[in-house]
Amino acid sequence: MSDAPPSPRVRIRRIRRAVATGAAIVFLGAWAAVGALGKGTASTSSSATAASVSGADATTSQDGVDTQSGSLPPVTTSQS
Amino acid sequence: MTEHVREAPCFGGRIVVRAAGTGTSGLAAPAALVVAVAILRRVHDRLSCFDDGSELSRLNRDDRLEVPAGALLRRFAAAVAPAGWLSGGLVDATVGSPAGLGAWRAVGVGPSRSVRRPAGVRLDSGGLAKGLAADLVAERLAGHASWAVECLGDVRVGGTEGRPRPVRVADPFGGDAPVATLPVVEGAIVTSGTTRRTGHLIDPRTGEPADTGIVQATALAPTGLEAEVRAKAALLAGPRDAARHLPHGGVIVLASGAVAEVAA
Repeated sequence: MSDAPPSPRVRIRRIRRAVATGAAIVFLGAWAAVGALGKGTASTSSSATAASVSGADATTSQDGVDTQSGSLPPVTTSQS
Repeated sequence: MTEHVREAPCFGGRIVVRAAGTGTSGLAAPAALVVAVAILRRVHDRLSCFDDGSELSRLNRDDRLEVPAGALLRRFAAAVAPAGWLSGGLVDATVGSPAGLGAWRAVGVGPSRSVRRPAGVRLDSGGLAKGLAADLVAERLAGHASWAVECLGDVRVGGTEGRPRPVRVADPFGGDAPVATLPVVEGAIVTSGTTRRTGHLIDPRTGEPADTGIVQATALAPTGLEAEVRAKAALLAGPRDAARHLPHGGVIVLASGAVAEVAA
């Protein structure tokens, strides 16, 4: 008797449980990703130079100057 | 308030974006700058003439007179004819038609999300793509207390604080000191010249490399696209007519090294 296939109602219940478990995992994963993004942003704004440069072509990110205390940092236009 | 900076390789050089505070999109400056760099790279990937896989290169290989195109390519194509009109035909983003024929007049966007151009005519994104890229980033950084885009020669600055930012015009002969420094509150500043890459700027009237007596022209304008057109037109127009192409102001450097600032 124990080898008999589960009734349709039991099968639906199991599927619902599996879907709920999957949704919970996805939600927790997304929440963790948002948390990590938030932490990264916070550290960027509080550190003097946030990102490290791993090569000549790397993207770099850094804090600029405090613009309240002086003029805005200059930019340069040149032939490209 | 701290102004954040992000720098990345793009358009064959390094682009720099800056922003402080939070923009109208709700993004804080560090996240907004990540988006800004992504926009610049997308423009480069779609509109590069040097990448066979770019959407522009595919368009240029297509024999059809009208070709379905994405939003970026359509926006670029829509700028080709206005660039020609604005410059009196001096800025011609078409290639493949006899010089002076004005094929740019027939380039535009079709009704069914497509780009149309005359048979045999290719489009050269050249500087227009960089001006467009700077404008797209400027749209995204609106609302920040201060912001700036340095897309190689194409610069846009602005900010809700309304403070002037020094914009240095580089020396065309390689000197360390800028030939001029312009305080700009909001707008675009673009430089075009012939000393850094000899022969790359073609005079559409002759089909030959530009040699007008001006070696560098910097134009101010409300948008990057317009400034790009104004700078090139001023350089190609020569010393006598250059000022006519700089209605918002600019800086001209002559082959002799003389520098002239043009008032708005």
